[in-house]
Amino acid sequence: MSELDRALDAALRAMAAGDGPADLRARVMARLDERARPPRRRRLALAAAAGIALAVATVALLRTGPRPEPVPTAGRAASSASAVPPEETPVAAASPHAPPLPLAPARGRAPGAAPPPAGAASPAAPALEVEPIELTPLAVESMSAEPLTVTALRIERMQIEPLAEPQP
Amino acid sequence: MAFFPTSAPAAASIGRVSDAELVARARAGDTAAFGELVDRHRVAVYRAAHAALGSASEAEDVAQEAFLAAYRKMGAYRGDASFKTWLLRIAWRQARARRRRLAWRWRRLLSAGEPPSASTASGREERTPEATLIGAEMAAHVRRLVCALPARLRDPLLLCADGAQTYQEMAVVLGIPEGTLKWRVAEARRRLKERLARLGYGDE
Repeated sequence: MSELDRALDAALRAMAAGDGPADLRARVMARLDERARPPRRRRLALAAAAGIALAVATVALLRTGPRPEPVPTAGRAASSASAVPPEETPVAAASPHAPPLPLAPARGRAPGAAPPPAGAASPAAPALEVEPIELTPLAVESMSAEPLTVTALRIERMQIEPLAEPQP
Repeated sequence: MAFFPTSAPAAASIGRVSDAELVARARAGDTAAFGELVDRHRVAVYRAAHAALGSASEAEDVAQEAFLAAYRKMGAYRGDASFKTWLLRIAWRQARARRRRLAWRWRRLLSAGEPPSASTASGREERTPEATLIGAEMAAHVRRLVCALPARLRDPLLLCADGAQTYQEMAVVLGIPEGTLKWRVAEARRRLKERLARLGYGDE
């Protein structure tokens, strides 16, 4: 090996020298700790939030379950003169002492109630104890309409004078 | 050789453990074992990154990222090559990726003319015994001429410069055949000696 080769080797070794930071291990371990911690915490927090949301949703669904349809009874309020069709005011038909009504997929559901699925009652659904709703009959005033008076139309003959002959 | 168990702390026993054993422990979640691997190979990883980037600060960043990437990919290490070679391959790829980025090129362009620093993290340039012998002037010429070499010749030359790795290991790191690696190193040296001779540094 010539002197030039030896000198070149020395120069290249000097260029490639350097050990880097002595605290590289500490830096790498610190980064590993950072990466390990947040995802686990986030996962736990997300799981807890999901559980809470599920519980709240379940309670809300149970409370606002489908309402029983009110059935018209003999103790209907005095609204015989009412012109409103029965199906539009089902609430008025129920009497305060009526027994609990079965669930039925029909009109007259309480506002906000979830519609039951098509196919009517589900035999597998657990029986819910629903307290009868006390309803006060809705008093509807009868409408009074005055008879309409139509005046007969009189037609008078029109006097039409013939046109004068045109002058040439 | 008899083995005498002592009451020394567990960390002391890691020094006698092979890389393969440390890798197995690290895979099982033993971060202290991985820390020992970092300590063992940080110099080689840093030097490989520095060979690609020519900057101490960039090499530090890449070395850190390389170890983190190795930790994430620990399950993919099959043991075909040594752990050190596998680690250097990761570090080399990361260094090359950084080199390709436009921002790195702009920084190099802006700092053109400054000799690359083969120094420690403090940023001071260390004068090795070799640099003292050959003279600062020749060292500066060699540095400038090496930077002017094409990357395919410069990279193998610098990676093999410290003599810590074999040609076989470096060929795996670079992803080229060993014969190609040897040819490129020889060709790089030939060009450097030719240019140094023109500058008056020929054999006497």
